[in-house]
Amino acid sequence: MKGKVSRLPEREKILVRRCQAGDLLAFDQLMQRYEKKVYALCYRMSGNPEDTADLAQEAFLKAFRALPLFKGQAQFSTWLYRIAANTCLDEQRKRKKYQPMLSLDQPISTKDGELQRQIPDDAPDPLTATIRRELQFEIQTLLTQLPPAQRAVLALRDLDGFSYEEIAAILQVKMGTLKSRLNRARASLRELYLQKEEQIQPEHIQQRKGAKK
Amino acid sequence: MTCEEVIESMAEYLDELLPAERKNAYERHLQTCALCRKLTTETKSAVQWVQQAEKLTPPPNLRSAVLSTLKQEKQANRTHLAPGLVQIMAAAAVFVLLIAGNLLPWAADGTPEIRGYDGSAVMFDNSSPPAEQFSGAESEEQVIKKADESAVVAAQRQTKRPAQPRFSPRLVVNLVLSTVIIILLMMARKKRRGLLP
Repeated sequence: MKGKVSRLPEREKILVRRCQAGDLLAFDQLMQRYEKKVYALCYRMSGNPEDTADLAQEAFLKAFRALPLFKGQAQFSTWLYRIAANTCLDEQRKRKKYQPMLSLDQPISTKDGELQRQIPDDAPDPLTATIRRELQFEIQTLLTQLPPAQRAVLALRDLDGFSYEEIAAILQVKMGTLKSRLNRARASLRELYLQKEEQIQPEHIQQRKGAKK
Repeated sequence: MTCEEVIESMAEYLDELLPAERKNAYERHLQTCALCRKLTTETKSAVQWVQQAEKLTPPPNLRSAVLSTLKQEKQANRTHLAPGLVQIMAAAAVFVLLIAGNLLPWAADGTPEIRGYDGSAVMFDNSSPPAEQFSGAESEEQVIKKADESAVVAAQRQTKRPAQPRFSPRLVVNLVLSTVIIILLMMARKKRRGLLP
């Protein structure tokens, strides 16, 4: 990902400059380049397709409006992902204020409908496709239970594969903060994952409880 | 390495980012500590499990939706103005007003005095009349006479400005306009800040 960006820095700079002059075609090209990553991040943060599309749109709109202020102090991609991450985190904060339970309830309400549409249906047979969908749903449900700040770090690192340096730049935190946040996020993930495993295989509960004693 | 240090460096250990020396220390600790061994293994499984999340394809209309919103905005604004530019331009206009107000002479009664060198009302006070305003038909004497008159008027104006009123209107206007400029600049700043990620 990083290589791809640095291979074409000049072309990207030209595109950014054209966007700053209000060229929408140039912005379309920039969006094409980054929509996958921006969309993926928004999906991991929101947990449902409707909000994801809105958040991704909002992030791109904010980016275009703020582009005249982008002076090239960071990589354009980092700057864009930062806008996307902040858009999602702001939304989470608003949600928390007004609808505290929504983020937990949402994936369940979309279980059979909207969520499934998002996963490409190219599995060889129906059973495999169902298992795959179930797994994707479980992952997303579990991610939604993490606090937003931890979810952002985990999504950027373990799902999108950004380097520690890139994540620190995107989230504007110090390296030490990032490392401890990632450790906390993975610890929360581990606990939720083990809970889930126990629910699936009840006999494990007894074994684990015995082990703890 | 202590248990605490192991917990703190677990992310880097799993991502294979620890320098060789610390990696060895980490692994030596795992050999002696069952709990840290268990936590490391479980975390690794959890991360591997979550990494099975599939990449999503953005909806095909994502970009076109963004572009159509931006087009509408562009039409509404006509020109693509930099954020906060309107406020900055307004502040500049008020600043010009402020300067103009101070260059303009004020009469003692508080009204701006806008009389020209020859007594006719003009926009600005020119203490030295521009030569091209005299018609060519006028004789040099007339010109000199008129120039003298204007000098007298100017001199009178100088002397006719005695005690200032208690609240100098100029001071009040200056304060108000300065406040307006500061408010506009703060609005522009806020607008630009608000757009920054």
